[in-house]
Amino acid sequence: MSERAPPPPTYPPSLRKGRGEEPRLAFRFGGTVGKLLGLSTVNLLLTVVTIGVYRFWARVRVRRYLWSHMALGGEPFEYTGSGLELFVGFLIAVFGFIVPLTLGYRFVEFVIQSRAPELESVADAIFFTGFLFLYGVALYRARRFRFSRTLWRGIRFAQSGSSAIYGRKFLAYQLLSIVTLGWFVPEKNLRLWAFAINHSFYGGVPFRFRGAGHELYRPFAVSWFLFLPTLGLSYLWYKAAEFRFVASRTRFQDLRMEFRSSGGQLFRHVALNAVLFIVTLSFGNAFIQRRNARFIAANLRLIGEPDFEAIAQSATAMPGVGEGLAEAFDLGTV
Amino acid sequence: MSVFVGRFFDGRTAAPREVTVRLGRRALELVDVQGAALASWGYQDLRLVAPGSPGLPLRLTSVTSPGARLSVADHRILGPLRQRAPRLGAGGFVVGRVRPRQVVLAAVVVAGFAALLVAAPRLAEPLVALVPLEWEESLGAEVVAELELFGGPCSEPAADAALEALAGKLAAAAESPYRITVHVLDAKFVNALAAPGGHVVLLAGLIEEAESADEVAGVLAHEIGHVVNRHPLEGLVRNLGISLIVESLIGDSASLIELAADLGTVLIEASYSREDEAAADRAAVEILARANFRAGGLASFFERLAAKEGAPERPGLAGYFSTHPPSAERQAAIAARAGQGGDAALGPAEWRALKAICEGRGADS
Repeated sequence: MSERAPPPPTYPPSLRKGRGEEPRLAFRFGGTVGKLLGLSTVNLLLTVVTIGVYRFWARVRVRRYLWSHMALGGEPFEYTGSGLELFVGFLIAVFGFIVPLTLGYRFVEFVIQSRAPELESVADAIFFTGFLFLYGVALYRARRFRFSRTLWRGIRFAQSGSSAIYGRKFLAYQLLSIVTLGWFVPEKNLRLWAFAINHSFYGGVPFRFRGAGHELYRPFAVSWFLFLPTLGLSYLWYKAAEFRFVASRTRFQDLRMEFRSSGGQLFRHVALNAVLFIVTLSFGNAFIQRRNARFIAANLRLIGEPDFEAIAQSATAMPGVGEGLAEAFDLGTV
Repeated sequence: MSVFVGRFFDGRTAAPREVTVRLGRRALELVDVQGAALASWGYQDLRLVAPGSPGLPLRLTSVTSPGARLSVADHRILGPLRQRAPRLGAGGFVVGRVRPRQVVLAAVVVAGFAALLVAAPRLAEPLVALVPLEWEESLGAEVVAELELFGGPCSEPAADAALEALAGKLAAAAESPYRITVHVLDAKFVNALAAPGGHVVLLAGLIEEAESADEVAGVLAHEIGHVVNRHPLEGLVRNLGISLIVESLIGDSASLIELAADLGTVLIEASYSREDEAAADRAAVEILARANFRAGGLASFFERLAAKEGAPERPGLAGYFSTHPPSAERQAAIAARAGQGGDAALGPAEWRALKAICEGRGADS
């Protein structure tokens, strides 16, 4: 007697299709506070015992927790980096950049002070711009590194584009923002978003962003005028509008994104983060990251149906060691 | 239950394949919708990608196909799997692949650090030779300015002139390439220090303790001995190097930048090796001889300090010996070389003026 064919396997569908609605991919964050508490405690103890050397491995463990508990369409993400990569990247950045630059700065400072004191402010200005440029470079490289270590459904994300170009843009736009007393900020943000998103890939398929700054000037103008009276908090209200705008103009294949937090919701979220940070004397950083993950999961979703067959593992080489400059600049909030 | 449903990702595209997962005797069998066998993952090769999250599927992979992923929604598969797969892992996010390149990198880094730590002291000398004189003198001035936290500068015209003349004669005898500048700081410690660039610092406690100008001249000659041998800068570079290496391991970039910027504090903590001290002693005796001063001062100073050492009512004394360790050899060597004859370092009026140099500073005498 032949065996009956096994019943067709069922699996919770990843694309939810409501009646008459388009298919959607939703984010979900499932990590518990208790688990994170255990993880954080062990991290803290080991970091203290190794007088700080462990902090890179600790950061990786938190990232793995956050990534693996964040699911999109029912499938979790995966972080594949290692603590050693971050550590080596840090060393390279410190010994290859930070130390020589700082000593060089001292030397130039001395030469200027003794030979040409009137040039001191010029030298300071040059160093300030150099620092801004490096900061932009560090941001971009950190993003590229994290993308390359992130998998979803086994396929890697990637980011192309030159970090030097990003650094130059970052510097130029920051200076413009200062000179215009902030009026350039929406333009700056959108241009930087555009550069980053248009160089982002998932499995070789590019993301696309198309949007211009002038569309955000109405909410920005309101927040600019209310900036002083609200002690700067009106910027958060503008920021929520910016997130919603950027999401709505981002495309991946035929998918669109939707971000639906209001200014008030963003404000409450950030305010609670700030309280947490102060109350825990910055040790609660991992919990703040968890809150951020949950906030994103609650407010972000993709609309449409991706063509998974067309998303293929890219053969391009991954960046070698980890985001050293960013580690050195302490950009490690995530 | 030995049959589960799952979703298989081959790691080449993001497309999922619905599969039936069966726990075979030696391997996990994956069968697709048509009934065709998709993969067979041996239990010893099976790994959990991450600890399971409630509500999210478990994810498995095999070391034989590390890019592939199997998602199983039903967590009950975990029990039977743990019995069969000894190296399932993922208690703490271990995927079980050790990349050889990383091991080599780690070994290189550790070896590099160890080599640096060992070589750092020896690297100081050639590095110091590269530093221009002017920079060293400016650095030394900065160090002195920082030392003034311990006690303000004492100055009094007659005393200043006497010191300058004395230092000038000793510097000439030493053939010093630096201009020797003597600073007196109003601190109760019995100590003297050579900063880079020819700046020598005497503390008020030492002047108070000295019983003759010859003793002060002896101490000055000793410090000038350090100066002409470039010990201060070498010590600073050596300490800075070691501090940089250690800080880079345990600190963050902010503390590193602070270190590179704040060289003065590094020097204060520097102390010289036995060889350096002995060299400075030899130089001191030669300098005094060439300047035709009496050489007994340093020896008698040492003898007296050694006798008083540990006296509880004079805590300041300990300072000198902590930075100028007085081994028996040093004392013997100095005493042996202490020649006969020579001029007094300062005349009686100058000596009195020097003794009073800090009195103008008032309340904290």
